[in-house]
Amino acid sequence: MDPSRVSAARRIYAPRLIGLGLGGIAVAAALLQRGTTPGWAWALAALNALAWPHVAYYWCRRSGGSMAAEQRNLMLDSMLGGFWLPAMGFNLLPSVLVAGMFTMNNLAVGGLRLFLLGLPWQLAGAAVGWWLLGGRMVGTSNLTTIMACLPFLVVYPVTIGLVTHRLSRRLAEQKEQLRHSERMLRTTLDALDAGVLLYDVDDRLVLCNRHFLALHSELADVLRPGDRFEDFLRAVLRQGRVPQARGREQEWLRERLRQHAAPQGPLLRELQGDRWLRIVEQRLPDGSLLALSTEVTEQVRRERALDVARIEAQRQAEELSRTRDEAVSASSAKSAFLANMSHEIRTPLTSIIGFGELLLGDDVAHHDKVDAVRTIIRNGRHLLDVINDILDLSKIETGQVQLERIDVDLPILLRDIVTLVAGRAQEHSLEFAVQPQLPLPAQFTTDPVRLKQILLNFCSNAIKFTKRGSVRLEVRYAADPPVLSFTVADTGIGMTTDQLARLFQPFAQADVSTTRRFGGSGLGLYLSRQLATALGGSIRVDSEPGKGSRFHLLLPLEREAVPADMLTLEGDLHIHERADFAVTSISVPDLSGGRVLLAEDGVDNQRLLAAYLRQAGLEVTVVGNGRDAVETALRRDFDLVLMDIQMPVLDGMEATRTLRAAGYTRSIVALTANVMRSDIQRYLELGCDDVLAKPVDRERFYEVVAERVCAAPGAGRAAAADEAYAREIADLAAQFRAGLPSQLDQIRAALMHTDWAKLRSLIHTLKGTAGSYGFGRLTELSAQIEGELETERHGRAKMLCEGLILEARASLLTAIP
Amino acid sequence: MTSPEPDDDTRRILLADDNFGSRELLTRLLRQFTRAELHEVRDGAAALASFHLLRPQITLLDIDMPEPDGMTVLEQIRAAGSEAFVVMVSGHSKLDMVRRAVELGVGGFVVKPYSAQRVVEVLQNYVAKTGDRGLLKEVA
Repeated sequence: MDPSRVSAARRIYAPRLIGLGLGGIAVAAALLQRGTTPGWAWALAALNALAWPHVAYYWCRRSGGSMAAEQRNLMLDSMLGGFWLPAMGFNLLPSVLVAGMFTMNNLAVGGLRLFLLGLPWQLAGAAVGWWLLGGRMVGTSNLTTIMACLPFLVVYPVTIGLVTHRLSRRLAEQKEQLRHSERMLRTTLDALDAGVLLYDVDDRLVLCNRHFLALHSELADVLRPGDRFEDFLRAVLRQGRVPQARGREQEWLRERLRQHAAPQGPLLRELQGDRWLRIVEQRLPDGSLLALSTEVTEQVRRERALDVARIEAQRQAEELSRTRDEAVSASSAKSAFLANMSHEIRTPLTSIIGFGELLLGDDVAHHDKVDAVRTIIRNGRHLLDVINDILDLSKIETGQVQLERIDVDLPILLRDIVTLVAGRAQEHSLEFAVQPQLPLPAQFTTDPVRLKQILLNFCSNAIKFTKRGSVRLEVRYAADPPVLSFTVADTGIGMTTDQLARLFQPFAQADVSTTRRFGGSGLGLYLSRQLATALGGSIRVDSEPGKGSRFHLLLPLEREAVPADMLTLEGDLHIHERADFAVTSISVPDLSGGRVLLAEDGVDNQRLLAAYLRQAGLEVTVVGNGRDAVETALRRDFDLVLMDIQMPVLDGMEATRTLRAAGYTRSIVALTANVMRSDIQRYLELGCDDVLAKPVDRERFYEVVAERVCAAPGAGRAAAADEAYAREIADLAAQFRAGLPSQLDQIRAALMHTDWAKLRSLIHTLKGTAGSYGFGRLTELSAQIEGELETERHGRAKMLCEGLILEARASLLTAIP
Repeated sequence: MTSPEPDDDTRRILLADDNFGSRELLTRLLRQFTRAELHEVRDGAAALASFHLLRPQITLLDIDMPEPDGMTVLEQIRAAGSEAFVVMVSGHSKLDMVRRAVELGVGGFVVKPYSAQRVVEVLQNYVAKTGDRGLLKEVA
């Protein structure tokens, strides 16, 4: 049982006891005054005063102390009170007291409502009493009655007042408590990291917390307590704030209301700006609805990213397995290629080594020697071809090949081809002709080196496989779309369809024996096709066994790169100007008197290049590293420094940089195997005047060396100056010679007096001067003596001094006066 | 500080070498090609003092001269903030020395004995670097 209700019954018990007790006394006083009174009236009065409060109390307790039971008791109180009014003959004072007591009692316990409710009960009690006792009015009260009522007059209002005061104080406390817990509730709700929305049973908004408003900042003025949920949704829809509902607002609204009426699991709602809410709605036991919304944008995005990542990972895994398959097949192709390659390299090497050993023998006939040397050279060249092709190939395959796009003059290109091919064709007694189909563009943009490489490969193939007849290079141009096509046609052995199919495989010449018969690396066509692709073009072949082959290179030109300038006349081409190529022997220029410093660390290359240089009459000084190159170049006068780039101690680049920084102005030509355009550019920027590729092409080597040596200041101003200088120096030398004997005397004197300091100063002077006047040997000796003196090896110094004096005497005698 | 004033028409060349023969030869050679005033000193201290006094267009410093040596003089010239055209002169061309000179921004490194060609190259380098042809002798 609720203790607060029991205490309510107990609280009303005391005033009732007192009130009814005193009421009983008042009634007894009134009855006494009337004189004749029936016995039941006395019994009733006593019962009323003594027993009724107890009955009412227990009655109230038994019914759980509810307010309704207490009200009923109060109404019975009021009726009993009303009953006594006629019993007292409506005597004014007791009547007022009794009526007042009950109405006040009702007022105190139940407020105005019970007060009003109690009045009809009181009237009903009075009416019953009137009817039972017979109506009779008593005018005034006597003293006894007044005395009996006095305590009642005092005690009753005081008691009622106290009770009322306590009740109202409790009421205030409860209100404050209510306010406090409401504040607590609001604070707690506001502190929640989720939006809270509470709707009552009628679906009207009770409250929402601050976080909810933060989530829907623009709703602040739409959300008002008492608004219906549906109105809220409509407002949101009107503002277009539900991306999910776009275009199907009514449907979404119905759906949402259904969810709202019977909330199930959490639902996701998208807000504008790719933000996401997770909403959980829950019916509370009293029928109201609590909605919790949490922002889960991060989670949603993460999940979405995770999905994307998962798909991506799957794709990558597929790709990886595909790549792996490719790699495996590529690797096996590579292995086959390598096996083939080592064979290709080993074969010529075997010849080279074999014939080299043969040459070492004692009794080798002269023509055998020549034969052996020729074989070695042929195989060496072949090996070089193979290696060059392999390098090109690997560059293409690793994407390192750097194509240039420069304007190429078609006539010059064709002339170059003729120059290179006609001689070889002539050697094989073949006719070689260029057949241009005019009109042709005068210029176009491509990589001329690579284009030439392809065409030369076609031509040398054609020459190789043609025994008699001709090789023709046809050139055509189609304007729309602009395509330049080159066709090399021969009258050679041709190929079967089978052979054609294998044509572009590396190392797959039509027949294994052809390699032996015709030479070639077997990489040429494969390489050509790769190069053609790199140039944006394609290669096509048609062939018939016994009738010859036609190799086509189709080269699409960029439309904007085709100049309007067209060649229309045969004469424009000037292809056949140089027709005498048969003799390919190299003419060695005569560069006698020139001085060259060769900085190169490879002994074989040193010997080879020095031999080339000496053949041209040049004086060669060889050094093996960059430091010696710098020191020697500065010390002596060279017309040209040939600088190997890869050298120990100090590489060629650093040496060149140092020399240029030290104001060295003579020619420096780089020797290098790195002949990529960017490398060459770098060497030129460093201060090299030219670049020679290794292995050295002899013709170009002489060309460059001759150009540089001739450009060196041998003629011109410095030479003229040197003449004047020679005169001056002759003059000075004469003075020096004249003074030399006295210098020698001083040296001898210093020696005799062992005045080492004096000797050192004399020798130092001699060292500085003698060389300049053509007494180089004296300078050398002086330097030696200075060194000995520095380390205080006076004995050796003395000996050398004697030598110096003898030398000086001798040179004085031999010098031209 | 050490660069010539634009309107100062006089060009000066400073030679610092302790060896009389070397100096004599160099002066004679220079006279053939330049109309600059030639100033000669015999040691590093004099070279430094003259350098700051004369502000020469070209300074030739012998590395092996005494008190202090040429390299030290060049260091002090650079330390004083001058970018003047200085040529090192030496009887040898040890790489370390050349590199040190290059680090200090020399205009040239001449190895003795002098020749007309080497002297001309020094003058050419100077002209190429500064564009100042004022010290060249007019060629008829």
